[in-house]
Amino acid sequence: MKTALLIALMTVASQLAYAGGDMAGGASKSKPCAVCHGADFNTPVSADIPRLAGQHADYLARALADYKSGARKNALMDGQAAALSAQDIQDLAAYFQSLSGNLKIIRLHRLAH
Amino acid sequence: MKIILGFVLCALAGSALAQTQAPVGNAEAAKSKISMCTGCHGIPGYKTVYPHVYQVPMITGQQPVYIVKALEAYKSGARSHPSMRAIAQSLSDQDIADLAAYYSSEHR
Repeated sequence: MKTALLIALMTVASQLAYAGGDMAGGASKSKPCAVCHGADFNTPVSADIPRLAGQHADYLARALADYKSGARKNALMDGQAAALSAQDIQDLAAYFQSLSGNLKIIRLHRLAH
Repeated sequence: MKIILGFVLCALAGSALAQTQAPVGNAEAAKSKISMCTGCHGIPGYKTVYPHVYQVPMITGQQPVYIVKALEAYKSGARSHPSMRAIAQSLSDQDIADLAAYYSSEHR
């Protein structure tokens, strides 16, 4: 019970952290991203470009921060991320997470044996 | 002389073909390989904690070639994450193709 409460609190806390991201701001900043990732961010222009719609905001923010710092490299993303501020990254991540698309989690216990 | 040249050309063509042929992914074959993925990616809210804290990405429904590229980048070290690197290094090209086919295909 205490564990469940703790998990619930941690989940809320992690979502609050991304309350720092402004979805409306993210929507307007996402126009250049749509060129490759698709207007709905669920239908990228080619199969080597990831779907972003619904992806976890904290993961997306990490990815953008890593492209910006050079820790993660991609010919297209390096230049795109370099121009983003920390706030831009939070806004974009919050916006992408708010969208729905094909991405989901197959829960461990639902796997067929 | 012509025969030898012919053999050389065939050998060159053969090796070029072998290098460009990526393995074809088999989603069914991946079912025996996904246990190492689901321990993290199959738990809603699961977070990686080193070197940064964030939720592990959703990979079901992701684009197939993107999954291959991500795993190859972890395997080569171009993309760094300690546990993903260790896992990717244990995968063959066929394993990677199979996992990409599995996670990019439709699920209930």
